Amino acid sequence: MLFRRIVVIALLSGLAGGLALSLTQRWQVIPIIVAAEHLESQKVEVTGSESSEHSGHSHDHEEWGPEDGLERILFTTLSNVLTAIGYALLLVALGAAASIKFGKARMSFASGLAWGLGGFITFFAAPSLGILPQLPGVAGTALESRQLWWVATVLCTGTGLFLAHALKTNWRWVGAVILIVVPHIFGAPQADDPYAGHTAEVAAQLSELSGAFLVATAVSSLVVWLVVGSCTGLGLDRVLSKET
Amino acid sequence: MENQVTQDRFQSVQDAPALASKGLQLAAAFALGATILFAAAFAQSSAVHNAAHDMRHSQGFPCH
Repeated sequence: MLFRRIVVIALLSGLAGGLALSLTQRWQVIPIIVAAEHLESQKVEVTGSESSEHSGHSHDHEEWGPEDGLERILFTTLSNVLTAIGYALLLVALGAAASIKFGKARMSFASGLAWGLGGFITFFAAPSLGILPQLPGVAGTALESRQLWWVATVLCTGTGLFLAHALKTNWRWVGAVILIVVPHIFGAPQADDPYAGHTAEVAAQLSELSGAFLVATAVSSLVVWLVVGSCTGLGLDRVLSKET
Repeated sequence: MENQVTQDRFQSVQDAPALASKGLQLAAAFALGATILFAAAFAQSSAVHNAAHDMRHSQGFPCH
């Protein structure tokens, strides 16, 4: 059954992608998050006792959260693998749809890399043009409005790239460009002062860290997408040769 | 004749799982992926948020 086969491919690709992500992340993303959380803890002291209950991270307080160290690493790795499985399920479903429903060539290792690049553009590059990957301690506008813009941008960009690949009419390029550009013309919700509550010195350090964080997250995101893309490409190549 | 119709119906019920169209199976896989991503990236429960915290930040998901 097609469903079972592509889900197995997605699980294996997601496992590989999630573990690769965990390694790159451990090496260059996590140290920046830890440094930012250290700066964030200074913010609580600066803002004073009356507001300290509500500022800072929720995992500083009574709710359950993984203990720093091995437990936190394990939960982060688990979330990485789950996320990569989610990415892989989208890729196998769309990749198989492109070849079965739209008559495109079967996915292979190489075209899987291109699909992975498409995923990176959709899920990381496009939304990051409006909302930079955010460090702990750096404020944004209301979470719901950022999540809404983020989801809308991912949907528009992904649909645009898929249509540009799958359809045959030349109008597809017009549609793709409109879909990809519209969220940015509309504009992402931005915070008035991302470093509110911090001293000027801490704000400067956070701003510097944010630049390094963008590079680090872009690299780890590219790694997970290329691994997931190439693995799903390899898997779909085998499965679809039996299906058709 | 009636027997034939009944038999056809029986056959079609038997084949129903296999006949679930490929499109439907692909849509199901896509929906499963979207659900997993939504839970990992956006679920607001504080336990899920704290467990997935570092992943959310490092993937650029709006986190808090």
